[in-house]
Amino acid sequence: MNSKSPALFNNPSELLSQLRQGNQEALGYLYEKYSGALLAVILRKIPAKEMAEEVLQDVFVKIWQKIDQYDENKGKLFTWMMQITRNTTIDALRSGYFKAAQKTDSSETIVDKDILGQTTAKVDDVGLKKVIHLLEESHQVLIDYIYFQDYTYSETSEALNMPIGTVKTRMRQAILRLRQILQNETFLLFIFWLCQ
Amino acid sequence: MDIKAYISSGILEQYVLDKLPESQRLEVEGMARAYPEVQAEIDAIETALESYALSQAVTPSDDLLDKIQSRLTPKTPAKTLPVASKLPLILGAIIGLLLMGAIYYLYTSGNKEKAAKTALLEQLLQQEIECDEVAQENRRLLEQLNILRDPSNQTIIMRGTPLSPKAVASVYWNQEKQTAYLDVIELPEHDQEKQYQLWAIVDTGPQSLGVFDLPAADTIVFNTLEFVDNPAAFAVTLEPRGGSVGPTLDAMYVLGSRGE
Repeated sequence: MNSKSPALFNNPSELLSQLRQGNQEALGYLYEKYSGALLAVILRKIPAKEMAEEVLQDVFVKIWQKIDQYDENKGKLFTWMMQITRNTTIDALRSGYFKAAQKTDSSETIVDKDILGQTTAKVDDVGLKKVIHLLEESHQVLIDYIYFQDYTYSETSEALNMPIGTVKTRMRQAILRLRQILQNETFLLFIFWLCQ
Repeated sequence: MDIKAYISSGILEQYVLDKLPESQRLEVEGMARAYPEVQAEIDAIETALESYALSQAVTPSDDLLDKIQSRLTPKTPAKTLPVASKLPLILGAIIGLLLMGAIYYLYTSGNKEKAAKTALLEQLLQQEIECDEVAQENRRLLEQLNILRDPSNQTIIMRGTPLSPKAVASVYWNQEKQTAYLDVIELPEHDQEKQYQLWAIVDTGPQSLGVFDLPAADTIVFNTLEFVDNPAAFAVTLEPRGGSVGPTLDAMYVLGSRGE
């Protein structure tokens, strides 16, 4: 087998062309990098890990099958993978197969509960996780609802009892804040290191 | 247009989060192509959200990658839409040529009576062939009419883009029967190196439904399509012969959304 080093896959266009040619190692690379993030998204809707992992399997099989439909001019590969993940999760929930696993308490918000506590984190991302915790709680809630739980803006507006225009501007602020935090990431990681 | 106001309106976040209807998605894509700062903003939003998602990562079970890899199938190449058979025409032409050859032979050999008989026979055969063709055409038109008359049928009219305002093509889409047909009503001629390609816009993006050739003048051809679930829209682009992996938006000739 013609082995490609992971360094090659760091180049997005090389990674994509390998995926399109059907290189399983390229998919393996995607899996290494992103399976954890995608699983976290699925777990927000399907908390039973075993079931969530079945959906995650479907997600990667779909990525493999549909990679030709991905248009790199329209966005990053990860954004597209997130779309597939959200759609596959919704399909799984609708199919009824996972009904039993669904949360009955839909009014539950993430701030009441430490969603990270129930699972193990990737060691690589511990630093990033700390940095993300600098996000204000109200911003985290918004991003969680809309990005992770795939609420529409109007559902979010209802759930948080906030006008829809406010949801739109606050979501922009939340992501701007996230960008700002990430820009300062290196500096902050250094501060954390000093504090330890 | 005030680009700064556009960027700060929050629409680009909605775009990346996949919360926009198809028409607005296309608008944002147009803006991103026209204004580099819009594209840069979209990139930055995507990168930030990707980092957020990575920060939440939950490690899957050890054997999950093996399970996935055992389900992967090798890739298959893109296919071409089936074209109506030209066999009856070709057969008719061959028979006609043979008979004309026979007539010429008999005339030149001086047997005029036999030649006249053969000529009559040829006329008869020719008419039978024509009759068959008419009957066949009739059946085909009836089939097409039945597709159109089906009450569960939905017609998606794809109208011309500014590239070609007169162009129009329709998709007849039937959720109940899980069938779909393409009817090219008017599309510009193109050179041999190119071919039209039909796209369904589904939740994961554009999906190719194959390439097709223009129907001969004055004929109506319903190309049978692969049925896709819940398409938001259909579009036709002009691509290099054989088709492309993704649509070339600058060469989009017609576009129509399925509506409600």
